[in-house]
Amino acid sequence: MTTLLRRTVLFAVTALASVAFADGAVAVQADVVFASTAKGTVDPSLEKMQQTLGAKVKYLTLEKRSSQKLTVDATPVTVALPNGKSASVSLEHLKGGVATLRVKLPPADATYSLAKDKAFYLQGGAHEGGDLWLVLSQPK
Amino acid sequence: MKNPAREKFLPMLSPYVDGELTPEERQQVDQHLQNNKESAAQVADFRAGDGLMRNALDLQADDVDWKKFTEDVMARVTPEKLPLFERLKLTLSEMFLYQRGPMVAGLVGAAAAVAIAIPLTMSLVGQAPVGYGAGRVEVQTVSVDTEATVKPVVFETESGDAVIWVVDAPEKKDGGRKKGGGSDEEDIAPVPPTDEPKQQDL
Repeated sequence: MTTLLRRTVLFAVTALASVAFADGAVAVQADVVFASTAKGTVDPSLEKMQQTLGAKVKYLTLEKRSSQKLTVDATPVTVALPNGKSASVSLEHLKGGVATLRVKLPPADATYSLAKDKAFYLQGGAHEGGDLWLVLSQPK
Repeated sequence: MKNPAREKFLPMLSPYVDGELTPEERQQVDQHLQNNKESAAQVADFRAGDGLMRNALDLQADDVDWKKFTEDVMARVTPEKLPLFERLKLTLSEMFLYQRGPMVAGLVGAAAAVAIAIPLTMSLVGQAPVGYGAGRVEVQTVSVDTEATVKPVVFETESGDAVIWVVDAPEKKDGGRKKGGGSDEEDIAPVPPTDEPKQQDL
Protein backbone atom coordinates (compact mmCIF):
# COMPACT_ATOMS: atom_id res chain seq x y z
CA MET A 1 0.00 0.00 0.00
CA THR A 2 1.48 3.30 -1.03
CA THR A 3 1.98 6.16 1.35
CA LEU A 4 -0.60 8.22 -0.51
CA LEU A 5 -3.20 5.48 -0.20
CA ARG A 6 -2.50 5.09 3.51
CA ARG A 7 -2.90 8.83 4.01
CA THR A 8 -6.15 8.79 2.06
CA VAL A 9 -7.58 6.00 4.19
CA LEU A 10 -6.45 7.74 7.38
CA PHE A 11 -8.05 11.00 6.24
CA ALA A 12 -11.33 9.28 5.41
CA VAL A 13 -11.41 7.47 8.76
CA THR A 14 -10.69 10.70 10.64
CA ALA A 15 -13.35 12.62 8.75
CA LEU A 16 -15.96 9.91 9.24
CA ALA A 17 -15.10 9.69 12.93
CA SER A 18 -15.64 13.42 13.32
CA VAL A 19 -19.01 13.13 11.59
CA ALA A 20 -19.98 10.22 13.81
CA PHE A 21 -18.94 12.20 16.88
CA ALA A 22 -21.00 15.16 15.72
CA ASP A 23 -24.08 12.96 15.61
CA GLY A 24 -23.51 11.72 19.14
CA ALA A 25 -22.75 14.92 21.02
CA VAL A 26 -23.98 18.47 21.23
CA ALA A 27 -22.32 21.64 22.40
CA VAL A 28 -24.04 23.44 25.24
CA GLN A 29 -23.24 26.70 26.98
CA ALA A 30 -23.70 26.25 30.72
CA ASP A 31 -23.81 29.37 32.88
CA VAL A 32 -24.36 29.51 36.62
CA VAL A 33 -26.03 32.77 37.57
CA PHE A 34 -26.57 34.30 40.97
CA ALA A 35 -29.86 36.20 41.13
CA SER A 36 -31.13 38.39 43.91
CA THR A 37 -34.00 40.77 44.42
CA ALA A 38 -31.64 43.04 46.32
CA LYS A 39 -30.56 46.07 44.42
CA GLY A 40 -27.30 45.46 42.60
CA THR A 41 -25.86 45.14 39.14
CA VAL A 42 -27.17 43.16 36.23
CA ASP A 43 -24.64 41.66 33.90
CA PRO A 44 -25.43 43.14 30.45
CA SER A 45 -25.41 39.68 28.93
CA LEU A 46 -28.14 38.65 31.41
CA GLU A 47 -30.66 41.35 30.59
CA LYS A 48 -32.68 38.88 28.54
CA MET A 49 -32.73 36.51 31.53
CA GLN A 50 -33.90 39.34 33.76
CA GLN A 51 -36.71 40.05 31.33
CA THR A 52 -37.65 36.37 31.04
CA LEU A 53 -37.74 35.72 34.78
CA GLY A 54 -39.29 39.12 35.43
CA ALA A 55 -42.72 37.65 34.83
CA LYS A 56 -42.42 35.93 38.20
CA VAL A 57 -39.63 37.61 40.13
CA LYS A 58 -38.08 40.98 39.63
CA TYR A 59 -34.41 40.21 40.05
CA LEU A 60 -32.33 43.34 40.49
CA THR A 61 -29.01 41.55 40.70
CA LEU A 62 -27.79 39.05 38.14
CA GLU A 63 -24.18 37.92 38.15
CA LYS A 64 -22.50 35.11 36.26
CA ARG A 65 -20.67 32.88 38.70
CA SER A 66 -19.35 30.44 36.12
CA SER A 67 -19.55 29.93 32.40
CA GLN A 68 -18.40 26.95 30.44
CA LYS A 69 -18.98 25.31 27.11
CA LEU A 70 -19.90 21.65 27.46
CA THR A 71 -19.74 18.85 24.97
CA VAL A 72 -22.66 16.73 26.03
CA ASP A 73 -23.16 13.11 25.07
CA ALA A 74 -24.71 10.14 26.82
CA THR A 75 -22.15 10.35 29.61
CA PRO A 76 -23.27 12.94 32.17
CA VAL A 77 -21.23 16.12 32.44
CA THR A 78 -21.12 17.78 35.85
CA VAL A 79 -21.52 21.48 36.51
CA ALA A 80 -20.71 22.63 40.04
CA LEU A 81 -22.71 25.36 41.74
CA PRO A 82 -21.30 27.60 44.47
CA ASN A 83 -23.92 26.40 46.98
CA GLY A 84 -22.42 22.94 47.00
CA LYS A 85 -24.91 21.40 44.61
CA SER A 86 -23.89 20.01 41.25
CA ALA A 87 -25.85 19.51 38.11
CA SER A 88 -25.35 16.67 35.67
CA VAL A 89 -26.20 17.13 32.02
CA SER A 90 -26.43 14.27 29.54
CA LEU A 91 -27.79 13.65 26.07
CA GLU A 92 -30.94 11.54 26.05
CA HIS A 93 -31.24 11.32 22.29
CA LEU A 94 -30.73 13.23 19.09
CA LYS A 95 -33.52 12.84 16.56
CA GLY A 96 -34.27 14.87 13.49
CA GLY A 97 -31.65 17.43 14.38
CA VAL A 98 -33.22 18.08 17.78
CA ALA A 99 -31.33 17.02 20.88
CA THR A 100 -33.04 16.13 24.12
CA LEU A 101 -30.99 16.70 27.26
CA ARG A 102 -31.52 15.37 30.74
CA VAL A 103 -30.59 17.74 33.53
CA LYS A 104 -30.39 16.58 37.14
CA LEU A 105 -30.05 19.32 39.69
CA PRO A 106 -31.33 17.94 43.00
CA PRO A 107 -34.07 17.82 43.81
CA ALA A 108 -35.19 18.47 40.22
CA ASP A 109 -34.77 16.12 37.30
CA ALA A 110 -35.88 17.33 33.87
CA THR A 111 -35.60 16.52 30.22
CA TYR A 112 -35.97 19.15 27.54
CA SER A 113 -35.27 19.69 23.85
CA LEU A 114 -32.75 22.23 22.63
CA ALA A 115 -33.74 25.08 20.36
CA LYS A 116 -31.77 27.51 18.29
CA ASP A 117 -30.86 30.69 20.17
CA LYS A 118 -33.15 29.73 23.06
CA ALA A 119 -32.30 29.15 26.70
CA PHE A 120 -33.34 26.76 29.43
CA TYR A 121 -33.38 28.08 32.99
CA LEU A 122 -33.37 25.77 36.01
CA GLN A 123 -33.47 27.09 39.52
CA GLY A 124 -30.57 25.67 41.50
CA GLY A 125 -31.42 26.56 45.08
CA ALA A 126 -30.72 29.37 47.50
CA HIS A 127 -27.38 31.03 47.89
CA GLU A 128 -26.19 34.11 49.77
CA GLY A 129 -29.69 35.49 50.19
CA GLY A 130 -30.59 34.97 46.57
CA ASP A 131 -31.06 32.17 44.06
CA LEU A 132 -28.71 30.27 41.81
CA TRP A 133 -29.79 29.46 38.28
CA LEU A 134 -28.38 27.04 35.81
CA VAL A 135 -28.78 28.49 32.33
CA LEU A 136 -28.24 26.17 29.38
CA SER A 137 -28.16 27.67 25.92
CA GLN A 138 -26.62 27.46 22.49
CA PRO A 139 -22.94 28.42 22.52
CA LYS A 140 -22.19 31.70 20.77
CA MET B 1 76.06 8.35 -43.01
CA LYS B 2 73.50 6.96 -40.70
CA ASN B 3 73.28 8.12 -37.11
CA PRO B 4 71.98 5.24 -34.93
CA ALA B 5 70.86 7.57 -32.18
CA ARG B 6 68.82 9.67 -34.62
CA GLU B 7 67.36 6.52 -36.12
CA LYS B 8 66.26 5.51 -32.63
CA PHE B 9 64.74 8.85 -31.66
CA LEU B 10 63.28 9.85 -35.02
CA PRO B 11 59.86 8.14 -34.39
CA MET B 12 59.65 9.87 -31.01
CA LEU B 13 60.08 13.44 -32.27
CA SER B 14 56.54 14.02 -33.41
CA PRO B 15 54.99 12.57 -30.16
CA TYR B 16 57.54 14.72 -28.29
CA VAL B 17 56.18 17.86 -29.90
CA ASP B 18 52.60 16.76 -29.26
CA GLY B 19 53.35 16.03 -25.57
CA GLU B 20 52.54 12.37 -25.83
CA LEU B 21 55.74 10.93 -24.30
CA THR B 22 56.31 9.71 -20.77
CA PRO B 23 58.53 11.88 -18.55
CA GLU B 24 61.42 9.39 -18.92
CA GLU B 25 61.12 9.29 -22.72
CA ARG B 26 60.81 13.06 -22.83
CA GLN B 27 64.02 13.39 -20.78
CA GLN B 28 65.81 11.01 -23.12
CA VAL B 29 64.64 12.99 -26.19
CA ASP B 30 65.73 16.25 -24.54
CA GLN B 31 69.24 14.84 -24.11
CA HIS B 32 69.22 13.61 -27.67
CA LEU B 33 68.17 17.01 -29.02
CA GLN B 34 71.02 18.69 -27.15
CA ASN B 35 73.50 16.42 -28.92
CA ASN B 36 71.87 16.21 -32.35
CA LYS B 37 71.25 19.44 -34.23
CA GLU B 38 69.49 17.68 -37.08
CA SER B 39 66.82 16.29 -34.76
CA ALA B 40 66.57 19.61 -32.97
CA ALA B 41 65.95 21.33 -36.31
CA GLN B 42 63.30 18.83 -37.19
CA VAL B 43 61.55 19.42 -33.86
CA ALA B 44 61.67 23.13 -34.56
CA ASP B 45 60.08 22.51 -37.95
CA PHE B 46 57.31 20.44 -36.32
CA ARG B 47 56.53 23.21 -33.86
CA ALA B 48 56.49 25.83 -36.59
CA GLY B 49 54.11 23.70 -38.63
CA ASP B 50 51.79 23.30 -35.66
CA GLY B 51 51.74 27.04 -35.11
CA LEU B 52 50.91 27.72 -38.73
CA MET B 53 48.14 25.18 -38.75
CA ARG B 54 46.62 26.57 -35.52
CA ASN B 55 46.64 30.10 -36.91
CA ALA B 56 45.01 28.92 -40.10
CA LEU B 57 42.23 27.16 -38.20
CA ASP B 58 41.66 30.19 -35.99
CA LEU B 59 41.32 32.37 -39.05
CA GLN B 60 38.79 29.98 -40.59
CA ALA B 61 36.80 29.86 -37.35
CA ASP B 62 36.67 33.64 -37.23
CA ASP B 63 35.08 33.71 -40.66
CA VAL B 64 32.13 31.60 -39.51
CA ASP B 65 29.05 33.36 -37.98
CA TRP B 66 28.41 31.57 -34.65
CA LYS B 67 25.55 33.80 -33.55
CA LYS B 68 22.80 31.44 -34.56
CA PHE B 69 24.71 28.27 -33.86
CA THR B 70 22.95 27.53 -30.53
CA GLU B 71 19.51 28.37 -31.89
CA ASP B 72 20.02 26.21 -34.94
CA VAL B 73 21.19 23.26 -32.86
CA MET B 74 18.31 23.59 -30.36
CA ALA B 75 15.82 23.96 -33.18
CA ARG B 76 16.97 20.63 -34.51
CA VAL B 77 16.97 18.75 -31.17
CA THR B 78 13.76 20.31 -29.61
CA PRO B 79 10.51 18.86 -30.96
CA GLU B 80 7.67 21.15 -31.94
CA LYS B 81 5.60 22.35 -28.95
CA LEU B 82 2.23 20.62 -28.75
CA PRO B 83 -1.06 22.43 -28.09
CA LEU B 84 -2.15 22.70 -24.46
CA PHE B 85 -4.89 20.09 -24.69
CA GLU B 86 -2.55 17.62 -26.35
CA ARG B 87 0.09 18.21 -23.69
CA LEU B 88 -2.46 17.65 -20.89
CA LYS B 89 -3.73 14.53 -22.55
CA LEU B 90 -0.20 13.24 -22.96
CA THR B 91 0.67 14.04 -19.34
CA LEU B 92 -2.42 12.30 -17.98
CA SER B 93 -1.92 9.26 -20.14
CA GLU B 94 1.68 8.97 -18.97
CA MET B 95 0.67 9.41 -15.33
CA PHE B 96 -1.97 6.71 -15.59
CA LEU B 97 0.45 4.48 -17.42
CA TYR B 98 3.42 4.80 -15.10
CA GLN B 99 1.84 5.94 -11.78
CA ARG B 100 -1.56 4.28 -11.84
CA GLY B 101 -1.67 3.33 -8.12
CA PRO B 102 -0.95 6.75 -6.67
CA MET B 103 -3.22 8.41 -9.24
CA VAL B 104 -6.19 6.16 -8.42
CA ALA B 105 -5.58 6.59 -4.69
CA GLY B 106 -5.41 10.36 -5.11
CA LEU B 107 -8.67 10.46 -7.07
CA VAL B 108 -10.42 8.27 -4.48
CA GLY B 109 -9.15 10.53 -1.70
CA ALA B 110 -10.32 13.64 -3.51
CA ALA B 111 -13.76 12.12 -4.10
CA ALA B 112 -14.03 11.14 -0.43
CA ALA B 113 -12.99 14.63 0.66
CA VAL B 114 -15.63 16.22 -1.59
CA ALA B 115 -18.30 13.77 -0.40
CA ILE B 116 -17.55 14.69 3.21
CA ALA B 117 -16.91 18.39 2.74
CA ILE B 118 -20.14 19.20 0.88
CA PRO B 119 -22.58 17.88 3.53
CA LEU B 120 -20.47 19.40 6.30
CA THR B 121 -20.41 22.77 4.59
CA MET B 122 -24.13 22.63 3.91
CA SER B 123 -24.83 21.82 7.54
CA LEU B 124 -22.59 24.59 8.84
CA VAL B 125 -23.73 27.41 6.58
CA GLY B 126 -26.91 29.11 7.65
CA GLN B 127 -28.26 26.29 9.73
CA ALA B 128 -28.58 25.59 13.42
CA PRO B 129 -25.77 23.73 15.18
CA VAL B 130 -26.18 20.02 15.82
CA GLY B 131 -29.08 19.40 18.16
CA TYR B 132 -30.61 22.86 17.93
CA GLY B 133 -33.10 22.13 15.16
CA ALA B 134 -36.19 23.08 17.15
CA GLY B 135 -37.72 26.53 17.15
CA ARG B 136 -38.44 26.63 20.87
CA VAL B 137 -37.31 24.87 24.02
CA GLU B 138 -39.78 22.25 25.14
CA VAL B 139 -39.70 20.70 28.60
CA GLN B 140 -40.63 17.05 28.16
CA THR B 141 -40.41 15.65 31.68
CA VAL B 142 -39.78 17.15 35.07
CA SER B 143 -39.80 15.63 38.52
CA VAL B 144 -38.34 16.10 41.97
CA ASP B 145 -37.03 13.65 44.56
CA THR B 146 -39.80 11.74 46.31
CA GLU B 147 -38.80 12.97 49.75
CA ALA B 148 -38.46 16.58 48.63
CA THR B 149 -40.85 19.19 49.98
CA VAL B 150 -40.73 21.21 46.80
CA LYS B 151 -42.40 20.98 43.46
CA PRO B 152 -41.34 22.12 40.02
CA VAL B 153 -43.11 24.89 38.20
CA VAL B 154 -42.51 25.02 34.47
CA PHE B 155 -43.32 27.76 32.10
CA GLU B 156 -42.36 28.27 28.53
CA THR B 157 -42.17 31.81 27.28
CA GLU B 158 -43.58 33.17 24.05
CA SER B 159 -40.05 33.81 22.85
CA GLY B 160 -39.29 30.08 23.06
CA ASP B 161 -37.32 29.83 26.30
CA ALA B 162 -38.26 27.53 29.18
CA VAL B 163 -37.97 28.08 32.92
CA ILE B 164 -38.26 25.60 35.76
CA TRP B 165 -38.80 27.05 39.19
CA VAL B 166 -38.54 24.90 42.28
CA VAL B 167 -41.02 26.17 44.85
CA ASP B 168 -41.96 25.05 48.33
CA ALA B 169 -44.77 22.51 48.57
CA PRO B 170 -45.08 21.45 52.25
CA GLU B 171 -48.09 19.27 51.50
CA LYS B 172 -46.24 17.36 48.78
CA LYS B 173 -45.49 13.74 49.58
CA ASP B 174 -44.32 12.25 46.29
CA GLY B 175 -42.16 13.52 43.49
CA GLY B 176 -43.31 15.09 40.31
CA ARG B 177 -43.81 13.13 37.14
CA LYS B 178 -43.87 13.55 33.44
CA LYS B 179 -45.32 16.73 32.18
CA GLY B 180 -48.91 16.22 31.11
CA GLY B 181 -49.00 12.64 32.33
CA GLY B 182 -50.25 10.85 35.46
CA SER B 183 -53.38 11.41 37.47
CA ASP B 184 -52.15 13.65 40.31
CA GLU B 185 -52.27 16.81 38.30
CA GLU B 186 -52.04 18.97 41.41
CA ASP B 187 -48.43 17.86 41.84
CA ILE B 188 -47.53 18.67 38.30
CA ALA B 189 -46.61 22.22 37.54
CA PRO B 190 -48.70 23.79 34.82
CA VAL B 191 -47.04 24.95 31.66
CA PRO B 192 -48.70 28.15 30.56
CA PRO B 193 -48.12 29.03 26.93
CA THR B 194 -47.24 32.62 27.70
CA ASP B 195 -44.79 34.46 29.90
CA GLU B 196 -47.45 34.94 32.53
CA PRO B 197 -47.14 32.31 35.26
CA LYS B 198 -50.08 31.13 37.25
CA GLN B 199 -49.97 32.93 40.55
CA GLN B 200 -50.97 29.90 42.60
CA ASP B 201 -47.78 28.15 41.54
CA LEU B 202 -45.59 30.53 43.48
